[in-house]
Amino acid sequence: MTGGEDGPAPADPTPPGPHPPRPLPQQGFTPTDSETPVPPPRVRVTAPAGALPPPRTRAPDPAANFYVRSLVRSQLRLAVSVALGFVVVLVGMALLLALWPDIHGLRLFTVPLPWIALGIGVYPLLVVTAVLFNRAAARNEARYREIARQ
Amino acid sequence: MNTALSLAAIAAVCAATALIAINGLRISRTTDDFYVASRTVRPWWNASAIGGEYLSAASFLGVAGLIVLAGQDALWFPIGYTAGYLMLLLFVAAPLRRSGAYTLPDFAQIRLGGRAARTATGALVVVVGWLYIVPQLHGAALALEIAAGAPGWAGAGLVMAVVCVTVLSGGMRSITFVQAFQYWLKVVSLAVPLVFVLLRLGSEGISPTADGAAFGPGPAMMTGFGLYGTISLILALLLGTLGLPHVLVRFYTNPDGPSARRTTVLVVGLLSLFYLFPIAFGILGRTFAADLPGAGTADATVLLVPARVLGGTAGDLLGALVLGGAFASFLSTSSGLVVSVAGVISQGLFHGTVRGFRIATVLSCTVPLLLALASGSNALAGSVGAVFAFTASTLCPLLLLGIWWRGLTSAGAVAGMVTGALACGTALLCAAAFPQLPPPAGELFSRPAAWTVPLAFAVMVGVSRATRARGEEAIDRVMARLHTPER
Repeated sequence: MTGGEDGPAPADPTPPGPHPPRPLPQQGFTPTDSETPVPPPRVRVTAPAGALPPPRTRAPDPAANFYVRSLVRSQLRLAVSVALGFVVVLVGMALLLALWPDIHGLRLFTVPLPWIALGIGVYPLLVVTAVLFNRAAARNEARYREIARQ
Repeated sequence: MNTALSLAAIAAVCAATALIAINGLRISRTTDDFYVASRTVRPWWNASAIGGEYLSAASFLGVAGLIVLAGQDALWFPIGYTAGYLMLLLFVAAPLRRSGAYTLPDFAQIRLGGRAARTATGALVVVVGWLYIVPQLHGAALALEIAAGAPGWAGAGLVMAVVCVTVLSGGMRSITFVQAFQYWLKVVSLAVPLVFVLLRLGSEGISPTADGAAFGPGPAMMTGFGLYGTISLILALLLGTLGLPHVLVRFYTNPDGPSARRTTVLVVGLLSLFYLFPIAFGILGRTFAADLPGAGTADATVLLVPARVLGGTAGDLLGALVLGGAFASFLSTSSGLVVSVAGVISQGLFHGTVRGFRIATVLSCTVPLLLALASGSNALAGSVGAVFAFTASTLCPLLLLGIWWRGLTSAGAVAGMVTGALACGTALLCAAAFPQLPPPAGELFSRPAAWTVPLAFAVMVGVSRATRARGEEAIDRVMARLHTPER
């Protein structure tokens, strides 16, 4: 389907053809300096389908690449260790519940301990883990910025 | 439930949603506005919007329904839904934002180059998005049936119609406001009825947990998951969140990497807050809605408990409030999914124009509606869990390896995604076609993540090793782009 083909795009160059381009309107006719604020015109902007946005980094040099690689390594080490720790806690809980049936007899205000642990207890753990990771990741980036500046 | 009040609540939510969307039209003018709200959304707004978008029918209705059905094992679902965001924070949030891509296929192309990975990713995003919309429509059908005795197609059709209008008129910017509004609507619409229900039970001296009997074995509609099933479920929910297209597109609206991380931390908090309420309703439902599993409508627990405990006008009013919240969740998740699926389709087939986006929007509303009308469901949380297993076996390996492993190649990524999709898709179809399979095979098929996710990773790594990567320099540039801080 060719959904975007009809109607001239504003940014299109003048189509090739026998007719000369239309003359531009006189300066005085343009309504740019009217009193009321005019919203920006609706434009047809094509997304950068495929085109990479311009790279943010400077030309590659070996030293810069080395710092980037060590930043990636330290961020990955941090993320993997936090994830592993959390997964071990979760799987440990699953194992505990499966292998120790007596735990279901322990109750607090009629609520069994497994329900408290799974229904409420996990969530504060999640939030604290998230906050601590965010700080650590930001620290890694700050360290990289310091090294890269030198 | 009181039909007039219920319909009024649904109408109010739909009208509010449409109104905010149409207001958004005034500030939403270019393709950039449509896709990523020009990346000017603040973390609080964005986190609320992500929460609003993410808390679907499966969370709002399904969690409580599954607790009534399956008891304690159901508690793993909300844990997984929330912890998925922790994984997103750890591995994906900041690098994905820094990649500067609009959609997941854009990411595949930026990281891997070439069209093959882009096309495969795009196809998967569309499939995942459509499959994920279907349970939302089942939820809507059930809710409207319970509330007003309407036929199944009415609820599903209503939700898709409102979503189509909302997305067509506003695109992402207005969607952000709509979603943020809907997160808080969802919290309030569960919290207020819960408080009233507990107050009433307290004043009459009735134990909300039936003196602990609520925690006994379920009504035997559903056996427990078993150890393999539980671990496979945890894996699917943790990793599946990474690949959800409507979640990922939300990250492009953060201004930079650190704010993407801050947003995700807030999301983890907001989700933790929200899930307390469906869990509480599920426990209440084991006493006050224990008959629903027999009728196959356990997912209506949240809708019916307020009226059953309170009765009278108060019960009707609070029931209508919950119903409004439920519709907010159908609308918000579906519209988020429609935006991201339409974004991918319009870039792939229509050169990313505004008009192409609109055609794609209509298309991505129609297909899931037809799928929903052709299928049935009686456990929303379960069917959403299957979609998580599918994304965990396909898009998650692409993201994790693409962001963190220099060796990933285009051929490897495509091979891994195709393998994961075939293995997981076949397993889930087998489980659906033969529900009575004996335990080992039955569990392997119905909860496939524990073997399909490692399989997809293994194929991705193996094929990447065997094929040539892009030049070192290109990878250096991409990795620097993904991981170095902005300033």
